[in-house]
Amino acid sequence: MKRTLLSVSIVVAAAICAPAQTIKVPESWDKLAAKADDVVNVSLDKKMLQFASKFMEEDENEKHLVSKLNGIYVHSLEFKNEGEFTESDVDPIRTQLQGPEWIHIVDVHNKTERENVVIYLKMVNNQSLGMAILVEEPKELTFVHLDGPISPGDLSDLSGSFGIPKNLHVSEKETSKPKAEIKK
Amino acid sequence: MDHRQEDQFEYQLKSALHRQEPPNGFTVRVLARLEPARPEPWPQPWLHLPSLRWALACALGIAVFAGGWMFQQERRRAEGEAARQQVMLALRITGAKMQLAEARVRHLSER
Repeated sequence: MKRTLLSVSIVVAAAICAPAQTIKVPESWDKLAAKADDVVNVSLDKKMLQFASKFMEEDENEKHLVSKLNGIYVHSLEFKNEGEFTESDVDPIRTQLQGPEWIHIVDVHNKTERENVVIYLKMVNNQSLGMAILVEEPKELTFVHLDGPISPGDLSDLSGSFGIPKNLHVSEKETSKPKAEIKK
Repeated sequence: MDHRQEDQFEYQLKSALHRQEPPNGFTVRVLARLEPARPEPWPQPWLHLPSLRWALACALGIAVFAGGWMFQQERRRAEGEAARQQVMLALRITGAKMQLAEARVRHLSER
């Protein structure tokens, strides 16, 4: 009994002490940032999010979502000209999102528009523990990682805010599908 | 004036000019009169009152503490506002990219 209790304590302690598993953005993005016209780098850990949520009085849904996330990481590069980045700049991120826990809920490749939009959801024991969005546009490269228990329901609650479409709704059934890929 | 009258006059003169010891305390009294008058003391400035000095010190201490606290609060509020702006920016970008994804999916579904 004591041994079980000890094991449980160790597991719980490890879970608490374990650093948030953030997805590393390759170093080449720093070089790209030097060439970019517009650079956005947002890196907010749980502590900062909880701090920020104290100042979000307007909407309880936003506050609730933000306070339960472990981190928000956004890297966005906007270039003046096309073709400033290559697949090799994006592949290291894709590689990190290859694990079994990451599922694609949206995977759109548009050759005409030269756009790739992939939305990943991190599912562990049927629980959503994060979301990643990787968008490649001719003049723009964006990677978003929302680390934490974010569910499709949360996104529905946020629809209408921050430019998130009002009718956006991803059902629980859809997220349980392994992959929903649309390729053009 | 005859000789007798001269003697009489001399005697009177001698007795008039005879050295006399001053009465006791004469010197002290004379010196006391000679002492310059003490200047009138300046009116005591109110700042020299000890209780007022303490009150002023306390008020200054409270003002410094309150100022520091207010500065901290203001800095904290500014940091919080900056963090909130960052969250808003991050969620706005997330929203925009999700909107893009949704538009693409809808466009392809409609075809």
